[in-house]
Order: sequence, then C-alpha cells, then structure tokens
Amino acid sequence: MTSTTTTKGVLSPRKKKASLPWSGLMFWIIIAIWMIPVAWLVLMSIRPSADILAGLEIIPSRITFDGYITFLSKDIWYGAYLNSLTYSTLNTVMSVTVALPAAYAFSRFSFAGDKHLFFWLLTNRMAPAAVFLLPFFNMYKAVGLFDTNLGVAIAHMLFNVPLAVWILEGFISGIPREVDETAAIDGYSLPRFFIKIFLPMIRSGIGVTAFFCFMFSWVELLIARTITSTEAKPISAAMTRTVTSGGLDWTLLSTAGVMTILPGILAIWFVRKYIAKGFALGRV
Amino acid sequence: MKRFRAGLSGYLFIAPLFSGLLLLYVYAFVQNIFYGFNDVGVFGERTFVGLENYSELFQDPIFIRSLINTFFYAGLGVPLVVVISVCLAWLLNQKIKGQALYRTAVFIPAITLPAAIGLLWRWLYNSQYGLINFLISKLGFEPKAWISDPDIVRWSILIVLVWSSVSYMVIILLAGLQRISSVYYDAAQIDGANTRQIFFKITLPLLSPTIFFVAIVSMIGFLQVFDVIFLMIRDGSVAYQYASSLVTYFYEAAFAQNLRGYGAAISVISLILIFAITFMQFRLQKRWVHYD
Repeated sequence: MTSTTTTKGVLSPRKKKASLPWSGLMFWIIIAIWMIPVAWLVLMSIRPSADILAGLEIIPSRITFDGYITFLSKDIWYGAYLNSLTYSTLNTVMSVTVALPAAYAFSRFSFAGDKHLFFWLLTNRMAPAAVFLLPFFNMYKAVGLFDTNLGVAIAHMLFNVPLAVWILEGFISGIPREVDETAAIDGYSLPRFFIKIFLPMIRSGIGVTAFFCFMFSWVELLIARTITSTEAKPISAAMTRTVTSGGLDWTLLSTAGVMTILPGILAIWFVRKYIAKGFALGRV
Repeated sequence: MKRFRAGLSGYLFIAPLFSGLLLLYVYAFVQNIFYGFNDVGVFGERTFVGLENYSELFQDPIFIRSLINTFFYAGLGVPLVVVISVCLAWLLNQKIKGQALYRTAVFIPAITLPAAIGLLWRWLYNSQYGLINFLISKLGFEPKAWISDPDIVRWSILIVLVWSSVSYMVIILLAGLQRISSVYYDAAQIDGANTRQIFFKITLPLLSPTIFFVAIVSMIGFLQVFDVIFLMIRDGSVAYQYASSLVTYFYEAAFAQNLRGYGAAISVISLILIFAITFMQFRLQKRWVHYD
C-alpha cells in the first residue's frame, strides 16, 4: 500500500528520463498492432455481409447497423447474451462469497491440515475442466441442473473459487494482524469485525477477485456449451452454432463479437485502478 | 495478547467451501477416473473394461498426434507468452500519457470470447479476403491457406493462442511490477545504472515470483487448449486432425462419438500430464525465482 504512494513521488523526478525518448512512439505502435484484430472485428460489424464477402476493404465503403438492430431485437441473440451475463454474475457473487471466509481462514488461522487443504485447492485449478465434465454432465441431467444458468455458475466455481481464494489470501495477508487483534480487544465478535471492518479494508482485493471470476466465467466455452442446450444457451454457443450452419451472417456474428467485449471493458474500467495498485498473488 | 480464537473457527470459515462445493468435485473427479476404466454409453450404461481404454489410446494415431500437438502448443506458446507479456507489461508500466486508455485496450483480448476470437481470426486468416494474406502479398510473399493447410495450421493456432493469452498475463505482471518498491530503482539510479541494467538486474529478479505464476498459469492453459482450435478449424476438415489437442480430442470422443469412457481416459491422461509438468516447474523454481 505504502509503496504506491512512494512510487508516485519518486517517479515524477524520473520523468526527465532521457533514456527512452523513443519509447512513447514505439509503445503506441505496438499497442496499435496488438489492437488490429479487435479494430477489424468492429469494422466487420458495421459492414453489410455482402461487402464483407466481396473482398478486403480497410475503410468500409458502406455502413450498416443492421447487425446491432438484429442482435438487440431477436431473443436468440440478446437472450443468450443475458444468459451469459446471468451465470457470470451469479458465479462471481457465489465464488467471492465462498472464497472470502476461506481465504481469511487460510491467512489468519492455523489448523490441522491447512497447508494441505490450501495446496489441494490450488490443484483444482490445475485440473482440466475436461476431467469433471462427463460426471457433471450426467449429474446435472439427474438433478435438473442441466441447461440452467445456476448450473453453469456452479460448474464455473470449479476453477474460479481456487483462484478467488488465492488472490484474496494475498490481499488479506497484506493487512497486518494487529488490525484483527485490536478489534478483538475492542470487543468485536469475529463475524461483526469481518463485515464491519475487514471487508471494507480489502474492497480493492474483492474488486480484483470479482473481475477475474467474472472474466473467466464469461469467456469459458467448453463447460458452458456442454451442460446447456436451449434455455441457458450462452452467447458463445449461439455464436458457434451459427458458425456451423450454412449461410452465415458475418455482420451479425461480428456484432455479437463486439457486444461480448463490452461487459469486459466496463469491468476493466472499474477495476483498473485496483489492478494498478498492485496485488500479491498469495503464496505459491 | 487477545486474538480471535483459531482452531474451530478455522474450520467454520472454510466450511462453505469444503462442504457442498469441493465434495461435489471430489465426487466428479473419482467418478471420472472410474469412467476411464469402463465403456460408458450415452445413457450412462457401463461395462467394466479395465485398462482397455488406455491401451487403445496409445495405439490411436489421432490421440498420439493430439498429444504431440499439445506439447507443441505448450512448448512454444508458454515461452512466447512469458517473454512478450513481460516486455509489454514493462512498456505499459512506463508513465506515458493516456494510461487508462491503453491499459484498457491491451486487456481487451483477455476479455474477448473465444467465439469472437475464433470468428475474427478465421477472417484474418481467410485465404481469399483475409487481411494477413493481403499484407503478406503486399510484402511480396506467397499467400497461404493458414487454417486449412495441414503443415501451417498448428502455427496459425499458436499465434492466436499467444495473442489471446498475453493480455491476461500482462494484467498479472503489471500488478507485480507495481509492487516492486521504488527504493530499488532509486538506489540503482543513484549508482548510475542504465535502463537495460535496471531491467535485467532489478525488475526481472524482483518480478520473478510473478513471472513464475504466469509461467504456471499459462502452461496449465496451453495444456488444456480447446476453444480456439474447436472454433477456428472447421470440424471434419483434414486440418482439424492436424491441429487437434488433447482436450479437443476429448470433446470429439466424449460428445461427438459418444465414447464417454474413452473420453474420460483422455481427460485423465491430460490431468496426469498437467500435474507432472506443474510439479516439475515447482521443483525448478528454486533455481530462478527470488522471494524477498
């Protein structure tokens, strides 16, 4: 925490850095090249399909917003989009809620088997989703979680909860134990201390964690695709199922692509400053 | 000194995590290993076949190719991702105007759906109207069939994988860079170190725990490659086999051909592979990772 304030103070005199006069320009060129594919996607989304198929154009000669209109008016598109938003949000809330007390326990308490449990938790992050997919598929069919947003959210906790515990443990360990001890002396009960004092102190950690959980759930394809069919069909499945059918509406598909970037950009915009503050990834 | 009582409350705090959730995963995990020793049909009907699935796997040329491809993606992809993301994060960490904008921009590939990435790169790679063939023909090279030529397809996939995973790693590395105390930089400047020396003697060693994390996470990711291949290469085309990874072959076997037991066996092998390689990385970390 203190390092950020000092960094600022020290970096400003360093601003004269004559060592890298070209870095500014080179930097923007690299960013521009890195961004070409994304810019291309945006360009495709406002060109008529026929034009896209007609050949390569850097600057579109005709512009259309049909893709966006269709996307927002047909429920197979916006419905799938809402499904993805729903399970990603659900997953984020559930993952953080479950991970918070666990991360606190791993950081503050020592109890029999804690090291093993923590490590085992991380191994769950290592295990490929494929290992759990077949049993989940059968289990979901049996208990009625198949093709539900809640089902996808729960399945995604598989990889998000270990990550959430890991990141949060890093943040929590960054807060001195004296804070806990003082609160204990002041007569706070543990749950009250946790909610009233501790959570506000690690809110940037919660923000970063929520961001990663949301992002991983949002982009996950294999699980979301396999354990849904129509009701909870994710946007990625809507996009891929159209890809495999005959005539493709490239404008519409690109529009869907652009739309799927939006929540992420919003999320990044909000957690950007927390990420910039730096966070520890806990012990490895 | 008064403290919150540990012991019981420790278990109480991890109870939500380990009750429902992880029990579910343990169950699924064990179930999956069990499937691997069976022929499992679409409706869950099983016959025990022992190690037959595994012995068949190692005589299956597509499985062998998928295994080799997975090594190809991970072996080339992870070093590339680590090097590129460290450089990019270092650049992004400079104080250049427009920070909010370019930081957000660089993260975009990380938050783009694989479905969109696949779609997009299929167009960039398109042999007739694709931007890449357009650019390389301007430069005087022969246009290529990027995603249908069996000799090239793996390289095309690799590029997309690197592009899409670097962003995420940059986020992590930036956070790591921010944590390096400015005391070190001040001292180095007073001693007259140049930018290159500062980068190699201060930034890299102090960043090594984060780099290690990035290496671990991207290795795990590359060993589980699925979506980009699945989405970019038309299923059933010759190139699909040539680009196939362990997880795409798992999906193919388990859900397209309904060979659930065979699929489970593939997933178990990929799990063993990931564990073994991650374990090796942890053993090797003592040689180059510095914790302060």
